[in-house]
Amino acid sequence: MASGTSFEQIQKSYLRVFIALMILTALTVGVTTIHFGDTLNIVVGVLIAVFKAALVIWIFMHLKFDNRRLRYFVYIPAFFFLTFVFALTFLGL
Amino acid sequence: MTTAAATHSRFNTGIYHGKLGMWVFLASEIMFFTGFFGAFIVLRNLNIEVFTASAHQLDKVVATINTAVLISSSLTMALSHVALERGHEAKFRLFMALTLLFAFAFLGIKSYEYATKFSHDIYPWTNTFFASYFTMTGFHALHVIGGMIPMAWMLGKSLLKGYPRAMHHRVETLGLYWHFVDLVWIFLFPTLYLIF
Repeated sequence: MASGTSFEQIQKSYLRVFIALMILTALTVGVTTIHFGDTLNIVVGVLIAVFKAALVIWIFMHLKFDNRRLRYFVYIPAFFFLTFVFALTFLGL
Repeated sequence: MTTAAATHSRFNTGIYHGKLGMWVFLASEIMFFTGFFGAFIVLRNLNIEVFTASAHQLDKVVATINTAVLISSSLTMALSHVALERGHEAKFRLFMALTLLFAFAFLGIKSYEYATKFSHDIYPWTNTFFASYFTMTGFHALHVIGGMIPMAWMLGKSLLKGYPRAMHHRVETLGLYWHFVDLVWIFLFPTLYLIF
């Protein structure tokens, strides 16, 4: 986090992330009442989870503010994780 | 107390050693949990009826509350680090205590969920869905306990001797781990409770 920003400013931005995470949690529970079809429900669930994860990693885990090369520690395992999950789910292995 | 290499950013990586170490560990943790998710998906594809019927026996309301509790603990953990970094030790202590409290609440709610399942004669050996459910949430709960130990240590040290501002890196590193534990739950929650 940039050292010029005050505690109060950072607290405010963290609170915004927190509210966004809570709204997304409500949304992911809410969409289960709608039936898009089995496959689409899984896709929506995973997409919301990925979006929540991105918020946590980007802001709470400071990846936005750290050395750019550190991001590969997320990109590479996340790529394998998502490839694995989608391949197993949709190839019906 | 701390050496330069441990707390200062290295010119070749741009970050201090503790943070690099934690990210390497977390990358391996992602692969650890990926194994569970992979096994879960394969078992689900083979026993779709059993998985659907069993998942409907889980308590969505309690799990949603627990998700909110864990997200709150991530917020207070992030705030406790900034507080110490800016030299507000009282706030650091308050937010660390809140994080520990949320972690206890999470485990309490999880225990209630487990107890309810046991009282309905549902155990890890009931079927492959519950075997997966107890294995995945069980390993996640162990990670929660693993995070609570250093939290209690930092809180205790701060109360007894004071926690030096210069050691805020340790709080940041613990925070990285704690947010990861939150991340695992963010994926477990829809996988186990919502997609069926």
